[in-house]
Amino acid sequence: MQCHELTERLSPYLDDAPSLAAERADLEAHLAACAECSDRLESLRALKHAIARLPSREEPPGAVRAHVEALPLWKPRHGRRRTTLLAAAAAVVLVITGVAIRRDHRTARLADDLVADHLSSVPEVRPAEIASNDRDAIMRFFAEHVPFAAVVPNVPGAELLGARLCRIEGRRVELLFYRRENRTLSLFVSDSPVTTGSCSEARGLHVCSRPAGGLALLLVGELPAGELRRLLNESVL
Amino acid sequence: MTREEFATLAVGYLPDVTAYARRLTRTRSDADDLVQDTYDRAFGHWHELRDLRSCRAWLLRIARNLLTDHARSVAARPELWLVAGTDSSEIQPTVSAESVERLDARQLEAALTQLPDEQRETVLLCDLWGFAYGEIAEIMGCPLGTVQSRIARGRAALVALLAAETAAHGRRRGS
Repeated sequence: MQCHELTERLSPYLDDAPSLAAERADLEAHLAACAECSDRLESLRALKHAIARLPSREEPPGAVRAHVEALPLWKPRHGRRRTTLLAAAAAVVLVITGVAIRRDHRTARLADDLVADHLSSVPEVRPAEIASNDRDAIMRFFAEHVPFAAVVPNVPGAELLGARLCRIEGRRVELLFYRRENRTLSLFVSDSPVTTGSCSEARGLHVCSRPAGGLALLLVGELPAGELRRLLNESVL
Repeated sequence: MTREEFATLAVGYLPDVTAYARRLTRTRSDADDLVQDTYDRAFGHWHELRDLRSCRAWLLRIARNLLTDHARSVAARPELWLVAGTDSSEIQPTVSAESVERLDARQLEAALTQLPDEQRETVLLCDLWGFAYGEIAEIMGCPLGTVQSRIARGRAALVALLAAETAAHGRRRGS
């Protein structure tokens, strides 16, 4: 494969487009041998991440929100009267499903917020509030700032870079940065409840979470979900 | 899916639809109109949404279709074809990843405004809102290959613009 053949393929490669699956091995072999194409790919990756840091949500004016929020109240007319019992049962179902939908939506929004924080806060973009690989120093820093006993987990095979204080859903949380195989990982530590481990995706990056000692660990990084989950599960408080 | 489930989800995406509408239209009032029209249409056809997971893409597709139908600002907006016709199969000038990481939002937005509308929109749907190529094709109503090509060309054009800007900045500092 020649450099000029790669130019139009780098973007779909970066986005993991299915159309490129058959050529992936050839392309990676070329990238491993060609510094120029490899640099070009890194520029595109940096550009993708820079765009991802732009605001993707904007609050509409109050009048627009009021208009939209009133729409669900415009119930369609029913041709027959429902019994009180059916109405009550429907209300219960709506409350339950409504909670489930809100939870799904909250999960998606939380993943998006975590990825946005990762992309805009990693030390390559702006300096950490505390740039150190000294776990004790970082714990002392957080001890004054977070409303729970600070922890600095050991992520296997990853070097601690530093940390900063962060807010997620209005709560103060730890944001720790690690370097592993030239990729920066962001580990959020929160005292919000998490009952089970899970992974989700936002903006092309994966987010995995698991409970640990009454805290929630949430790991974000440019790694496949399975690898991220394994690292998180093997992380030690 | 019930209407209430749809409503809960759709209203949660209001800021996404607002941001998208503002990127497609010339003025805030055009964007506000488009958002309201989008939700009016969506609540009238909510039962056509087959999968709640595609709700956000479905809302953006409605917004885009409305914009196309009404020939709102896209047709009227002046397009700067500075980089149109870029053949991304040719080796293009590049800029280092470090230079890209140093960009602030204003510089990046300035470069984005110089892309042809459809390239900019495709790149933003991919990188800003995180849609997969297939979802973008659904939203924009175009073939998958067109999405792939627009993203490749859009990014190549952005890199070329940023490389030119970086070179000009270097010359200004040197003189």
